[in-house]
Amino acid sequence: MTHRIKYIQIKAEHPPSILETLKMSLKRSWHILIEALIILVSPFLSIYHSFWPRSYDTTVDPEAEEFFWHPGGQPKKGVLFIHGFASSPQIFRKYGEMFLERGYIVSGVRLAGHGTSIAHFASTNAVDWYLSAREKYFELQEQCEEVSIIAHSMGTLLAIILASLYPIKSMVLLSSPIYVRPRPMYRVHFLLRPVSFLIKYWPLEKSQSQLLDRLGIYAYRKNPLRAVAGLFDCITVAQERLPLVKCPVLLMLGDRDEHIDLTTIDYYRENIGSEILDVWIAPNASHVITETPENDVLEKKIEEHMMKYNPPN
Amino acid sequence: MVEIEEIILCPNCGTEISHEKPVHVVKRGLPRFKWWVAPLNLTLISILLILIELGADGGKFDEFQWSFWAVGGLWLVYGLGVMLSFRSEDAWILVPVFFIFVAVFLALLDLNITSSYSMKKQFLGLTWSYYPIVIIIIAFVIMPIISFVGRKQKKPVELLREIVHLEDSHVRDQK
Repeated sequence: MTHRIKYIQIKAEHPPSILETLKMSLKRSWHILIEALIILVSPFLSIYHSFWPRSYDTTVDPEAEEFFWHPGGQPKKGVLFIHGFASSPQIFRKYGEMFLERGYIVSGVRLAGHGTSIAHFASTNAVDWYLSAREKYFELQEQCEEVSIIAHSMGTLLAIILASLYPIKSMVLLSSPIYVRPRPMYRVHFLLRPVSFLIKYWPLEKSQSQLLDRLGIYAYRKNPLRAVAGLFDCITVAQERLPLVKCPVLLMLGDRDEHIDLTTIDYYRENIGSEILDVWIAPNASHVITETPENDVLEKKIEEHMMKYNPPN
Repeated sequence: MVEIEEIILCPNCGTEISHEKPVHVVKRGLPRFKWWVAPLNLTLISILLILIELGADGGKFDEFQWSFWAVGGLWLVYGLGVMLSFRSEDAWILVPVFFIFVAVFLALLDLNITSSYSMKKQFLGLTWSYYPIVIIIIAFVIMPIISFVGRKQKKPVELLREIVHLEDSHVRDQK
């Protein structure tokens, strides 16, 4: 705000009395005393500070930033992308660009605790992730009439919950973990939270880390066990909500998925409320199905599904 | 003393807004420290304690008698502090574990003094320490664990389910 100075008032005061001088001196020396005291107690203060919890880093990595792209004009359709566990919206950027060109508003949500730090991730749970996805869904819904969801891994579980509540037009579920492979840690998932008090993080297998490095995918290389317990919470609620999903669904799984059991497909067929369930098993594809060798086929199938059930304008 | 005062007038009506200059107070608060400050200070305190013990014998040092315990206790407390600072949510188990260490520490101290001064041994060869050890075990080990295990708290899955049901009923009402 700019303000105009009308005039400058000059006040002349009498010199301070002895009492006032003393008061001022004491006031100043009090600050000096406080400074001296802080310097004296600083060593002990440093020890005391080490008792207080340090906050975790919540700075978002530029690679893992979420995206919201508008094609211009008045688009009526939107696509919401929900990434998976320990992953980031980065895996959906190329699909976002693809659908932006087709005239959709695209939004890639970054779930709470993802793309920041592993300690921040460990402090989040299923509720936080669901609320992140829900918030972005409403943001997108305000801008367009109909919303479709494309989700990967744990994101598919959040998509199922959203679709059971809100009028989602269609869904593409990639590597949906309804049944996870019985890895030792997963088999006893009810023990994950108690065990996480002793073992906080569990590193990825070397082959998986190498695969992520090779593909240049931004994802945590360790899994906080408490967060893995949250993943099972999502699975539980998604299983309960699956019969309420009424929109057309395209389910895609890799035949070499290291996390998901292919019996997941049977579960979908038996329990989903939707009448339209298309399934495609990607040959030679791992859990990171977006980087399958037959990427062209995958892209084509997603595009066909979207054009069929939620065409732009 | 000469004071210069600016009169600020409202750009629309011309009335005087305030005689006071806008003051932006930045609270200093207590200083924060880098991670190495505390261990460095503790190292200095430890060295100081050891030097005091060395000097107390008039330069004729035979063996460590008390500084070892003081230094050990200091680092034990610091170790707990560091653990808590990184894993504050696990305090319910870290604090009891720490107090188990304290109990062991007291027991060792007692045994050491007993062997040095040949005091009358009681329970497990302890003389004085088993009173505080029993109090520590009950009040700082058993009670926190019982309180944690027996707390009434919704599990995340229950909370998620509740949120979803709440939304579901809300959506149905709107329809």
